[in-house]
Amino acid sequence: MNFNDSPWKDLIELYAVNPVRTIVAEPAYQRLCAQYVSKDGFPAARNLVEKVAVNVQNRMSKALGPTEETSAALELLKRTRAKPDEMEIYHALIVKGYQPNWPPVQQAYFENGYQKLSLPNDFFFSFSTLYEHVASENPVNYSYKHFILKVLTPEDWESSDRNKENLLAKAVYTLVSEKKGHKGFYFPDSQYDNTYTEEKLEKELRDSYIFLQMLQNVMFRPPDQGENYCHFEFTRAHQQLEAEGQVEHRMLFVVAENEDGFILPRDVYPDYDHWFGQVIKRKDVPYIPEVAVPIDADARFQQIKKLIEEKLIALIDAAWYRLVDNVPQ
Amino acid sequence: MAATSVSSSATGHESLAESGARNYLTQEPYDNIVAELLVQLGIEYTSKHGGFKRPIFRLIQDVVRQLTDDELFAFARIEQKGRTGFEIYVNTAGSRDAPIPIQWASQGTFSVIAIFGLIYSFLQSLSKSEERILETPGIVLIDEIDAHLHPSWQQKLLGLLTSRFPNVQFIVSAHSPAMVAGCDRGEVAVLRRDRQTDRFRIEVLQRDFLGATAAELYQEIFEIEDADRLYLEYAVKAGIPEEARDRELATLKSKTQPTEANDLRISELEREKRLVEKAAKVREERLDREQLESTVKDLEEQVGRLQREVARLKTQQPAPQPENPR
Repeated sequence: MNFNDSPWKDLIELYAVNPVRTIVAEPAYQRLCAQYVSKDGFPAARNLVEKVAVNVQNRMSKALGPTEETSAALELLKRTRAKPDEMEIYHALIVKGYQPNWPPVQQAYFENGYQKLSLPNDFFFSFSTLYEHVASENPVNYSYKHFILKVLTPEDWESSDRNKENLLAKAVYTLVSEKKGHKGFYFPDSQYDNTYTEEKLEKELRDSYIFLQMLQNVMFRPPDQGENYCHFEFTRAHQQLEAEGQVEHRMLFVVAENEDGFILPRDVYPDYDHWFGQVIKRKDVPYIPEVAVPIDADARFQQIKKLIEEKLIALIDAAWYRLVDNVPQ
Repeated sequence: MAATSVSSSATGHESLAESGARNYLTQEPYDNIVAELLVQLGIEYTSKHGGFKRPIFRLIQDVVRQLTDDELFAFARIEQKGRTGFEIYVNTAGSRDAPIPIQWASQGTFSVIAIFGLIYSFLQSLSKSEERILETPGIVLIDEIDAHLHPSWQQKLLGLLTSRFPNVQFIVSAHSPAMVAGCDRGEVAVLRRDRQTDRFRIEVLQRDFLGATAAELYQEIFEIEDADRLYLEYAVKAGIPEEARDRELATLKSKTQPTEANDLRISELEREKRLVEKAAKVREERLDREQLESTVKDLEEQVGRLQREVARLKTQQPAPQPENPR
C-alpha cells in the first residue's frame, strides 16, 4: 500500500478525520467506495484501515492533551511492531489525524519514536566464540552443559560444531527472544572477510534498539587471534548510544562467569579498560553461574531463567516503555 | 472410469527406490511412482509368504484405519492381470461387503497409502534387516503433505509418521494450520517474503504450538485475517448509496408483464440488497467487537503502566526502620 497514491491515500485521509461509526454517511467516502469497489485489493485495504482506525480512535479518545496523545500514539505503534505493514497504517492515521495538533516538541518526539519502533530488531546480541587452548571444544559449552540442555534440544547439542559454536550464547539468546517475542540479531561467527563482517555488524547495530552483550573473561584478554569483534561491537554501540544519551538504558550486559570468577581489572588488556569500566560500574549486571554437572541442574536452570527474565528481558521492555512514557511536556 | 489394473513401467528390475530417484531427476509425473508402489504391493503379496500379514500391508491398513476411523478398511484380495499387472481390492466402510479396487478409495486414503507405502519401500531398500525396516534412519521430504487430506487426518498425520518411522527426519511443506497445531519449538518454519529485499527467507518459529487455536495459527503463521471475501466486497458496497438500486428494483417489480430477463435482474438485485444489508449488520457487530478488544488492550496497558509506576515508587521508598525494642 503506497499512501501517496489513490485510493490508499484517500482511505487514510478519510479514516484519519472521520469517526469510524459514521464514516459511511460521508459523501467523500461513498464516492470512494463507488469508484474503487472493483479495484483489486481495495476491499481488503478498506477493512484493514477501518480495523486500525477503530484502535486509534478508541485509544486516542482517552488521552488528554498532546503529551498523553503522543504517548498513546507511540503505545499503539509499539503494539504492532511485529506487523510492519499494519504499523505503517497506524502511523499514517496518526500523522494525518492527530500529529498536526501537537506542539513541535511532541511532533519531533513522535517521529523519533516511530523511527525507533520501526527498527527491525529489539536487541543486538553480542558474544564471543573465542576461547583459549583452541585444541579442544569451546569450554563454555561444557561449563554450562546442563543449562544449555534445558533450553536447547539434545539434537542441538549433538549436531552442533562445539569447537566453533558458543551454545550458551544460543541458549541465552533463545530465552531472551522467546519469552515476549523479542526479535534479536546475532552474528554466529565471522564467515566472510573483515570488511563485510564490519559492514554487516554496523548495519545490524543501527537496526537494533538495545545492545546486549554476554561477557566472558576471554574477551578481555589480548587479541592474539585477530580482531576482537566483541570490542568492535561494544565500541560502535557505545558511540551510537552515547550520542543519543541512552547508554545507561539501552546497553545491557550479562556475565557468563561465576560471580567470583570474573576477570580482575589488572588482567584486562589495557585497550579494553574503557569497555571493562563500563561493565563494572554497573551495580546490577547479572552473572550466570556454571552448570557443568547435572546435580541441582533444575534449580540452577530456574535461577538463571529468573535472572534473565528480571535483569535482561524486563530491561528490554523497560527501555521500550521509557520511549512511550517519557514524552516531554 | 480409470483403469484399475496396474503394471510396471520401470526399466528392467529397478527397485522402487531407484525408479523413484529416476522419476524425480527426470521430473516425471508422481502418478508413475504410485503405480510402481502398487505393483510392488502385488509382487510382495504374490511372491512372498504371509499375504496380507506382511509388514507393509499391516502398516498401511493400520494407519488408514487410525486416520480415517474406518475400522473396516482392509486389503481384500490381489489379482494378477497378465504377466506383470495386478488389481488390488480393498474393503472400506463405504464399500460394504463388496471390495473395491484400491484406486476407487478416496483421494485422501490413496494419498496416505502412497505416503506410507513409499516411505516403507524406500526404507526397505536401505535396511539390512527385514525385521527392522521401520527403524531404518533416513530423511524424507514431502511437499504439500496436507493435499487432499481431511483436516482431522492432517491433525493426526505427523504423529503417525514419526511414531511409525521413529528414526526418520521429516521435512514437510504444508498450507494447513492443522499440520502446525501440536508442533514443538523450532519444528515450524515459515517462508516469508522480505519486504525490503523482496526475497523469501525462512523464519524458524521459536515457540511451541501446544494448545494453539486455529484462529491463532491462521493469524501468526499464514497471516490471514478473519474477514471473508464476501464480507470484504459487500462491506464496501454498503458504503455506496442504495437509491439507484432500490429505484431499479421498484421499477422492475412494478412491470405487469414478467420476462425472464426481468426476473433474473430482480433476483440479482435482491441478492445484492440482502448481502449489502447483511454486510452492514456484520460491520456493526465487528466494530463493536473490535472496540471492545481495543478497550481491553488499553486497560491491560494501563494496568502495566500502573504496575511499573508502583515498582518505581517502591525502589524510591526508604527501607522501613526497625521498631525500637520496648
